[in-house]
Amino acid sequence: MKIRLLLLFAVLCLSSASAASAQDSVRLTVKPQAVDIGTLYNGTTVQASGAIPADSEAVVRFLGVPSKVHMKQTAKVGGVVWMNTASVDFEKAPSVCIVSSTQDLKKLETTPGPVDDLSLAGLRKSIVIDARECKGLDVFAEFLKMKKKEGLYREVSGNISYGKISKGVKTFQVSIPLPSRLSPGVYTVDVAAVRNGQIVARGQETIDAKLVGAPALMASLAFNHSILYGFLATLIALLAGLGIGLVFQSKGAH
Amino acid sequence: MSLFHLYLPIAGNSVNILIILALGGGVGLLSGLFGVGGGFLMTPLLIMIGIPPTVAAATDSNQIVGASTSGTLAHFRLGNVDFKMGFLLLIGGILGGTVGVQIIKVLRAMGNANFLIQMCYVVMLGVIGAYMFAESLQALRKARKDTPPPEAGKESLYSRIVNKLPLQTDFERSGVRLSMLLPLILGGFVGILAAIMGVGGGFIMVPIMVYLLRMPMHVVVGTSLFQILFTCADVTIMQSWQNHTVDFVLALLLLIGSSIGAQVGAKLGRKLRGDQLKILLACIVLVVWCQMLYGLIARPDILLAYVKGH
Repeated sequence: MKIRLLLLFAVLCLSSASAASAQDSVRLTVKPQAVDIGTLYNGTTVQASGAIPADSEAVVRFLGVPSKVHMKQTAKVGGVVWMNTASVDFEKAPSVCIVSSTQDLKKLETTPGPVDDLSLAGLRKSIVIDARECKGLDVFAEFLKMKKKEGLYREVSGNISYGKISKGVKTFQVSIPLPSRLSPGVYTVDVAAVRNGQIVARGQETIDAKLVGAPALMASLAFNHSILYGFLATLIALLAGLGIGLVFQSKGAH
Repeated sequence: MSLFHLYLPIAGNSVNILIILALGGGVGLLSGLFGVGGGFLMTPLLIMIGIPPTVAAATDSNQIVGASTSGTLAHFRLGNVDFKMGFLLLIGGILGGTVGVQIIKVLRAMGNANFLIQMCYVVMLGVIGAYMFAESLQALRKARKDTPPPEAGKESLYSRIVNKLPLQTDFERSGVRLSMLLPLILGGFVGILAAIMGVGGGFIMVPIMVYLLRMPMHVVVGTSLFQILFTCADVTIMQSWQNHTVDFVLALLLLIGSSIGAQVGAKLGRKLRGDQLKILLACIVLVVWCQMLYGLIARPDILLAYVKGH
């Protein structure tokens, strides 16, 4: 009898643990899974949807491939002119970083911790900065300003909506605005479920952005047949200039 | 997606077609009116609308090929192109440009290139703009008073040196007699500056033609455009080949606007006197000079800049 009771207790413990584990997970679907950068591309939106634990909040990030960025510090020289001076290198800086949340990220964290890492300011921990030559400048803050101005780094709040709660999970949906300055490459949609300032579950999907149509043709010609591209660009410019000149001549001839 | 937006594969950005056409038209108007390629205006404007600096500079050269072709054709019909002078300036310009590229390489290695480029702009624009403005203002005042032209006085030192140079020849279209060496030397000087500053050099070439080669303003405009055409064709091919920074789609849009603008400029130029043209150009050069000077002494919003090549 005792053995039976012990076995029943063990089964109950296991099933309860597996239910908790199922609740502390993220289900994620991204549409479309590929972004076509065609002639009329001017930014687009990606829809991400899925489910997170019912008592958590979703933070969704759209991230570009981390790469190295070489920059120069602008500093006053001789007390008069502002010039590019010292070199600054940023390694592992994502080409794009768009953070979506239901509300201001600061409200989701109780103490500075893992949630803070999800914000743009949190990139300070992941980007490796070599600013040995720079003096008295918060180069990361300037880097963020630059990327925000270019529209490549953004924090959007209030663009996540939640659906019904069922069996300890709730559905979510988010429209992620992609910038017009999007380069071809593989991007990641990363969803974090946040509860009491802690990340309790994460999910990721990738999106492939590629050039199509005329932009793809032009890029292929420019990078793979560059001399031909240069001659063609010059020739067409010459002919267009002549053509417009002749049109004006015929209109001007009375 | 939007009908008025176009994705530029080399610039890696989407732009509003109407803005690009308007930019091209405005700068093309100046090109046709004054014989300047407009590179010193267009490149900063393109950077302002989000085009990467290297792509902006190279693509601008490509569109200037179209604009200057259209402008040269318009001025050729009006008999305003001195081909003999243009070819000599061009040969000098190409030789000077080659020397200039080497100078900039050495300065880059020493780490002083950016400072030299910016100072070149400020000094050249300031001197040229101020001189042209003062001289044109004086001429306009004299014209209003209907005073007779001053009698030929004592020859200046410059005139005496120029007249002693060998290979004196007549430039019929310009109505001047000069040594063939002079346009070669001056073209070379502009070529060096153009290579260092990363522009076609029209805004330096025009004052040199007016004040040092003493060509009439209307012939200066046509001849300058003719010379710029070849310089920019060379730059377009080299930039496409070496740096992959020419965005032809952007250039095509710009040149549709600028070619039309250049034609309007050429026609408008016929309605203005040489002095009026000079004072207008002087004002534009001085405005750009003020903007560049402000850029040098005012604190930028962001204290970081991408490393860019010229």
